[in-house]
Amino acid sequence: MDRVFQDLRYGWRLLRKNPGFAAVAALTLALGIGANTAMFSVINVVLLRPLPFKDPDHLMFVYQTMANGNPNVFSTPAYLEWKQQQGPLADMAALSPVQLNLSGGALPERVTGARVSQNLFPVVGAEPLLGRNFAVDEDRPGSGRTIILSHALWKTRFDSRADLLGSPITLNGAPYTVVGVMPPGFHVLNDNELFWVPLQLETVNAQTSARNIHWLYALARLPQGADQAQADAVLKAIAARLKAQDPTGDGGFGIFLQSIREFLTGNVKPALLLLMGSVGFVLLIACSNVANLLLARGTARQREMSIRTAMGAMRIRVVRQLLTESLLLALIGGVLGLGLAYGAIAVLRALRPPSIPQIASVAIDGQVLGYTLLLCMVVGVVFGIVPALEASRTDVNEALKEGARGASRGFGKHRMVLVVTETALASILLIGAGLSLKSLWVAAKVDPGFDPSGVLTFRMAAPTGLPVEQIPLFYQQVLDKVRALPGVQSAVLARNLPMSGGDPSMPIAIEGTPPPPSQTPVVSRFRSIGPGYFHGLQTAMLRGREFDENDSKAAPSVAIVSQSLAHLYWPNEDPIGKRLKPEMPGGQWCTVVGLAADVRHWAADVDIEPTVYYPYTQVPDSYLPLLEGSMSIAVRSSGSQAGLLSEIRSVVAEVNKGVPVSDVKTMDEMVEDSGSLRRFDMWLIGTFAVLALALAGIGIYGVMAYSVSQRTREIGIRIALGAQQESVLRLIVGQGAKLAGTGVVVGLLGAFALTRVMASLLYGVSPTDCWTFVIVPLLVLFFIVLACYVPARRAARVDPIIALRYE
Amino acid sequence: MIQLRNVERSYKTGAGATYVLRRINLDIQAGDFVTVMGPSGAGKSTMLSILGMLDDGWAGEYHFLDHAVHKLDRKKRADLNRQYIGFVFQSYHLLDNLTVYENLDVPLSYRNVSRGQRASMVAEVLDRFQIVGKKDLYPSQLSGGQQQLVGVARAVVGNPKLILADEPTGNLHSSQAKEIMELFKKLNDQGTTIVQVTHSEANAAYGNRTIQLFDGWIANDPKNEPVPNTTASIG
Repeated sequence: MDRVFQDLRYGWRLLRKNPGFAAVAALTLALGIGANTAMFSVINVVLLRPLPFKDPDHLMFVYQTMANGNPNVFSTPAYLEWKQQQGPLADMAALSPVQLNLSGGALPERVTGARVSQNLFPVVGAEPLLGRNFAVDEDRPGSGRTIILSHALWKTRFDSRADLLGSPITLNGAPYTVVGVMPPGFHVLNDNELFWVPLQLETVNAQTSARNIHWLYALARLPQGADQAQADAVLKAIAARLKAQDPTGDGGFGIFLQSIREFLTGNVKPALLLLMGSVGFVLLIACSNVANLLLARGTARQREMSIRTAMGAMRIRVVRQLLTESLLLALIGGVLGLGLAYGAIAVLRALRPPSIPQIASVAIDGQVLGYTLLLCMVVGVVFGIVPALEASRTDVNEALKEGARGASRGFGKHRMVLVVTETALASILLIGAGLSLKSLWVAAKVDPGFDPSGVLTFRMAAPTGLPVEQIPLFYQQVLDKVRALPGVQSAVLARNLPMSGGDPSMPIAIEGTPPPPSQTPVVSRFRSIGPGYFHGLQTAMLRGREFDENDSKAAPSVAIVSQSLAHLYWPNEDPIGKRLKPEMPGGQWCTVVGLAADVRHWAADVDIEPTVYYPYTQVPDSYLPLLEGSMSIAVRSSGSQAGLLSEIRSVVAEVNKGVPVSDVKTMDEMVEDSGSLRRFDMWLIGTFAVLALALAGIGIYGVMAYSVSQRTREIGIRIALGAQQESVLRLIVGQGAKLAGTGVVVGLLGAFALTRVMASLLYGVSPTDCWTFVIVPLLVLFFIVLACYVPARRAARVDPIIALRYE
Repeated sequence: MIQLRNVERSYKTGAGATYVLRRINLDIQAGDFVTVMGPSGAGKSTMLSILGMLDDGWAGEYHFLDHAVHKLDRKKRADLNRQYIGFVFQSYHLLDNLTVYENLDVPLSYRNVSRGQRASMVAEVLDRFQIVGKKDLYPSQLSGGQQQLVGVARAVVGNPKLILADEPTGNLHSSQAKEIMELFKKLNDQGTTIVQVTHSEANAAYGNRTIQLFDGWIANDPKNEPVPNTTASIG
């Protein structure tokens, strides 16, 4: 131990004596370690943090498989049918997201939660921190209102009051008795969940009984010892039996299982792992740079190593000393890197990319510190081992001779390999960044089918208890008042605005077309909208007309179809006047009165789906509770949207004080959010790639500068013999360009293999996009040659008289 | 103490091998103060490196104390070096970034000597060489003579039986050189065997035996018959 401290002390002294070297090396490492630490802290929270469930590997989200083979959440009949089967799903639990108005504060608040079956908490293996789970009786229809709160809601809204248990709180104007509070961090569907109320499934209204209304998420725990493949096999057998019993039933299509970890993090995992790989590359480049610095320094320290060897130091002792110095350097880089990571995390948290769950919890905690420490150790060895082995392989006899030059022996080869490696790594990253950038560019050029600029959106729900027939009137009153506000050009209503997340679908029947076999129903996206919707969103009406105030419940049922639906079902025909019917309880034949342009509903880079629009006033009664649930309003205005919001809140309060305005966003933000993951990925990969290129450039500059300093005498002789400045420039730049060229070629091959893993993250761009694979390498070459030019110019200006006196 | 029999050292070159030492036969007794002289390129420093076990590429037999060095592997030779041998160099070769005290501590730290024992050994040498007041200075803060004094102190700190000195006064002016040579003489009188390489007749006079090397051959050794044909071709 004493020797380790001795080595550390000596290493520290050396670094202090060479502040320039120490600063460059430590900062280079800090960039690499900082980027890695920041990225790991995100992954630690999103992917690695233990889920708040018991044995999550056995906990599965369960979906029914649809006729087209896609998984979907359950309809009530399908859920009950599968629950009745003996097998892995016998103890399946169900839940469905819900939003309710929480009153009691200064303003009513729209809070998100879930309706859950009584067995949900036992199935996921979670228990309330305070109070109890719902009783079986409380999950029966009509058995009263109870609620379990999230720790966050209990803390922020109710000041962590212990006496809240057993007390009523008011949601949607009705009292709910608080029976429990869940532990901090517990959530099932997403981290917005603030409460849970009993599902009370048999409290059937029309929507829950419909076979075509899929609304129930389901969770099941696999038996101990069983894995997903075994469960899949059992479920397949059950599906086969169900199909034999009822060839037209849904059960025969089978079940799709998804682990809860995959459900919660599956969509961001590839992007995060890709980013982690990218920062790994950056770190390797940083290591290469520092290894190069150490190799150069090792040449200068050959005499010291020879003396130590002559004094009796074994080679391993010399290596150990040099490695200790490397580790010290890595630790200093690590400390600085932690500072950089802290700043990067603060930026990430401020940006709050909506696609990354739990971003607000990302922080530097014990695990991250442990990771950084381990990283420093590994990094210290990675960049230190080759220089240490080289420096320890000293020829004492030669090095200690009077006037020995301490020439580098074989160091050149290592340095070249390192330069080629870092150029290759930078090329791969830049090609990755180039593909991401092009992908984003292609996506940005896609016409979403509406104009989001100047549009403010919000959600609101009709007051609880309002008679169904008065709901349209309530919305109409709000719309009229909003339209009357100064600067407002239009205000339109829809159940699901584009890029708002929700995207219900509904099978339809087409008049004149034989009903399709039950296994392949005609499915379309289902939109319920208000009058003037297309004008409001500036979506082109290609034919026919918009809905207007005359399309009331009493009027004939009408529909507007999207261009892609018309093309699919009535190719080369005019869709106006055709009839279709939504296959839902109470669904009527609707006459198509308009043809609208296609709209990208999820995001610019998600495929267009055939869509049918219905007047919200004409949806069957079975669907009306959804309208009570909430509707979105999009307001296009010419003035300030911040000022507009307060005016909107005022006019809504004028109509009904108890109705909260929630989910306020501009449509531009919604469009931004819809591409958030891609943009997040692009910006970070882009940043890392630029960082990598800069580091590689600095590395090559360092190597060339060192090479020039070592070759001053040779260059002096060449100039003395008549070499022109241009030929010296060519000599040095050519040497660098050769290395860079080799690195770029290796990088191209690497990118060709590695960018395939990005395929799922790209849009409109092939992972081997020709332009990216041509332009990026040229850019890298140009940059590297530029980095060589500075030392080359210095070499070209060598004064032969001084150079030859050099030794 | 030392017996060299037919020791040869050569380097491979493009055309074959170039010999630096040829058929060296040499006996050095404990307590000797041997001077090796000869023109540049005669093989003096190479012989010193072989004696100090810093060079492995030689052929022949080398007996050191009771050890047949030619049969030992590199590690065991390094062990012998650490245990019995101290080096003094013309350019002092102190470690620039270590203080005088730390420079003296370095060879002991490679010998598995405990921290406490090292401290007392270094203190004793600092005292013996009267450089206690300079123990916290760095080599760059010392004169050439003082640096070589530290160099000698470093060589003796581990109580070696043999000191190998390669032109120890080559970079010193005459008064400093005299001081260092007096020091060697004193060490030799106390029983330490010394082999020095020098060009200086004055320095050679401190020793009790002078060996002349020429083109890798021993041209003259008072204790041995001269090699008959010193003009034999090399190669």
